Amino acid sequence: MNALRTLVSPRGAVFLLLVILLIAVTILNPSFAEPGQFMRFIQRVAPVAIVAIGQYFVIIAGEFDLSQGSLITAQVIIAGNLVGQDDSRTVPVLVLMVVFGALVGLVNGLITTLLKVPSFIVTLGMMLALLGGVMWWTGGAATGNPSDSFREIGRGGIRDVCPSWSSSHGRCSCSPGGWRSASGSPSAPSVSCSSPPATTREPSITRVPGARG
Amino acid sequence: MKRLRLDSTVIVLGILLLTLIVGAILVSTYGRNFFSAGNIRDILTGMSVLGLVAIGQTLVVLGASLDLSVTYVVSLSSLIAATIMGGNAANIPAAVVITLLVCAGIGLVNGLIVTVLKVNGFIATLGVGLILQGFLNTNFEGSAGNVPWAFQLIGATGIGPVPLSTIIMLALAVLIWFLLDRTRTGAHLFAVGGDPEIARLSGVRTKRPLIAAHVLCSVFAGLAGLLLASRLGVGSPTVGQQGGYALLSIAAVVLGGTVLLGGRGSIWGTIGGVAILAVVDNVMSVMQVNPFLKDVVRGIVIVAAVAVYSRRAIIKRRPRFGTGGTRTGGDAAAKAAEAEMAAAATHLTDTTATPEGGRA
Repeated sequence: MNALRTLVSPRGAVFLLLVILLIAVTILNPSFAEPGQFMRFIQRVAPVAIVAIGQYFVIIAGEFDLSQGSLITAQVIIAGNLVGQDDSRTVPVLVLMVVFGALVGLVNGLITTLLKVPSFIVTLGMMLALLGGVMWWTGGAATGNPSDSFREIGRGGIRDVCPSWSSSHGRCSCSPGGWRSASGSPSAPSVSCSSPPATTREPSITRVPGARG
Repeated sequence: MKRLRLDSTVIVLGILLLTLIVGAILVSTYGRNFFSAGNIRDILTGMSVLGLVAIGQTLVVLGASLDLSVTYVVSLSSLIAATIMGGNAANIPAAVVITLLVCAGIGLVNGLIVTVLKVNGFIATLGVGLILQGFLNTNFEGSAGNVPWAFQLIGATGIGPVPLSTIIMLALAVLIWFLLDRTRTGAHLFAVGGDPEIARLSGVRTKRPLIAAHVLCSVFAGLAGLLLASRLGVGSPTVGQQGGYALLSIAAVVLGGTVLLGGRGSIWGTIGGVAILAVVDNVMSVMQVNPFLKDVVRGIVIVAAVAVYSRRAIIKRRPRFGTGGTRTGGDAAAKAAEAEMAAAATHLTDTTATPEGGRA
């Protein structure tokens, strides 16, 4: 009875809704529940989850951050261009990107608190400026095709668990394993989680959600 | 500390004047005349569509809500109008009426979700916007319909350097000014936006003004869509997103001194905010700035302009006393009622002081 009440409460209703949705989708399309498919689905959701965790801090303080979408686009383009085909640059560029993100957030926060501009407007301005700036730099086209070792972070996994998902959880929960994605060759090294079968060399830019809504 | 007591609308006009002067100087360094009839027409034309959307957005923001669905309402309205007209001038009245009714319906849905289901306006209108986007993407592959020449004239003609579309926009702004400043619905909208609980305790029906604001906002977005259809000659499913009207209209509203949390602001401030954006755009166009760099400048201008008056607490409340105030009767009437008020006050403190004492 108590558990039922928790499920109907606002906090529990989200998960109830999620379960209902998952069941409904599985009924409509049974292949969705296959471990490989499901893992790939989780992999696609991971970036949204990471972004939402960040947005949570801002929303809970009663503010907005509209600049996240543009910042993601900017990060992708900058990282893609800086890493290039040079594997050794992966770690420095990763660090630089985290610093860049923190800097953008710092500017947003300082303008909101010191200049007392509503965060909606600050981050709207930041959204326009970031996207415009990065597009201006690249001429509006998707550029940069980072090296494979860098892309492994987004595409590969650590023993069957997608790293972007487990890092968003804060712990690495290894799945029981036993499944392999359709194209995952058995001879691949230990990092062979779930590279999508059909799209082996898709340009990384295409995965970025549009910054403008 | 001496603090300037300026109306926010005055500051907006000041910033607009500054933008005009800087713009005129920048344009003249390129050997062009900023105040030529053609250029003024360009600026005013640029104002009209965003102006219409921003007028509606002002109402919603005053009610402490937001409308992010306007972009899709604009697209949908242009498509409905162009499809129904189908190149036949006889269909214009029917097309306009049906388009605006559909838009009003969308606004009603927004308003009901926000007030009855008590969903935050940001989320409610984001959801409605996504539904509309899905509808547009599944049912239209590209531009559709055909707008007859008679309707295209609305977007193409003008009186002197002033385009007809801008005149329509300003006339509607006067209408909304009247609604806000001289009618009960307007006063209630300010009250509900300022503090819904206090408005409710004061006997205001809190849902109605906010629903009305959402309906009017969608209707104004529909009018903007009609204007775009008249300019393009066809309806387009992406015309709203291309303009980025939802966020830009909110930016213009806040630029115009309307408080994002609702309850304070004015329609003329919004028009000023729209004018600032239009002038900045025009100057950059004349200077042939890279279109992506334009976004950077636009973002900086929006933040900087809002920062100018957000730093000082100068956003004026509506006067409660004195000329133009909400209190009826003069000082004499207040004096006459003083004894009665004092008696009522002592009576109130006797009976209700304790239960209300804990509230801040």
